[in-house]
Amino acid sequence: MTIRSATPDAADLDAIVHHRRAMFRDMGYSDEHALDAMRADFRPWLQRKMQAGEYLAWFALAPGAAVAAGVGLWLMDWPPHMVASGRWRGNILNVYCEPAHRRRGMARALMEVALAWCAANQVGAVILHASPHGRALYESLGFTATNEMRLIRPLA
Amino acid sequence: MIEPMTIRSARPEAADLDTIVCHRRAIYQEAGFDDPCALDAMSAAYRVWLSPKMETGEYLAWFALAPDSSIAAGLGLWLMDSPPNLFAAGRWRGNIVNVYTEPDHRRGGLARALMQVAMDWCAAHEVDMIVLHSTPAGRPLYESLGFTPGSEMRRIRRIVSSKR
Repeated sequence: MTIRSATPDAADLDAIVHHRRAMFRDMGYSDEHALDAMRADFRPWLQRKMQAGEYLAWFALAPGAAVAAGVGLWLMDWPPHMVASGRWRGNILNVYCEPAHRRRGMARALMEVALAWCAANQVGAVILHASPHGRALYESLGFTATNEMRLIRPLA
Repeated sequence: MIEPMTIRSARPEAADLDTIVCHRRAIYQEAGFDDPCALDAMSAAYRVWLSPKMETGEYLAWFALAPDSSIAAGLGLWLMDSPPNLFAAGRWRGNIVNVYTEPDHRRGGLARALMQVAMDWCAAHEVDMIVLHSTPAGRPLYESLGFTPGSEMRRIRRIVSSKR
């Protein structure tokens, strides 16, 4: 398996945006209009963060160098606390593997690359939000559930 | 007992920054972190983080005042520039932090009143998603306000500080 870093160019931005849309779709969000709107909103956010070096991403490549899977790492300017050191908190997101390439360990390999980057760059705490489907992988990598609570106001 | 209460916004000035940092330190101390050196280091680093966030308006805070106008409780709202998702509209995600009531003023509904102010602010500013991390003692309050468990997972790796 070949893994490469993403760059903030149009093709890689498109791939990441595609992964995010497909990920939400796989999670059961079937409103195509809402998915399109999210994709349109996410791209400028992503471009800004990638250009600032606050969003890193890696792709696993299929033979022929097409992107088969991806993982994103958003570096959040987290408040200093007592749980871990390091200015940045890693937030793993947009973990997605194309259906034809699943069950080959691509997501795990990408996670290990992202976690190794964090270890080498003083990112002591890494978080993510797991779908039920992804939980087992993340648990096997040392992630545990937190005491997060959330309140979401229904969209009008 | 419900005390009559006044709530005011915090300002990015020294006295209010000191109070917020003091609240944060006390939260960790009460949670069992008892190394004063580590608490002092966290407090110093946190003040450096907090000051610019308040200046830019990315961190808001409110205080509940005691009858003598001293600060009896506080709450912070950190506005995070989160990626657009499918759960909630609005550019910012609210993160409620540093909820603290001085021991003499507990059981008076101050934290609840501060939460209502923060939630009203979010509703008025298109912050449709609010997150927080709850202690076991705080959970019933947040549940009563409509918060439910999130799906966050975390992995901590100890970093050996190069300063040691």
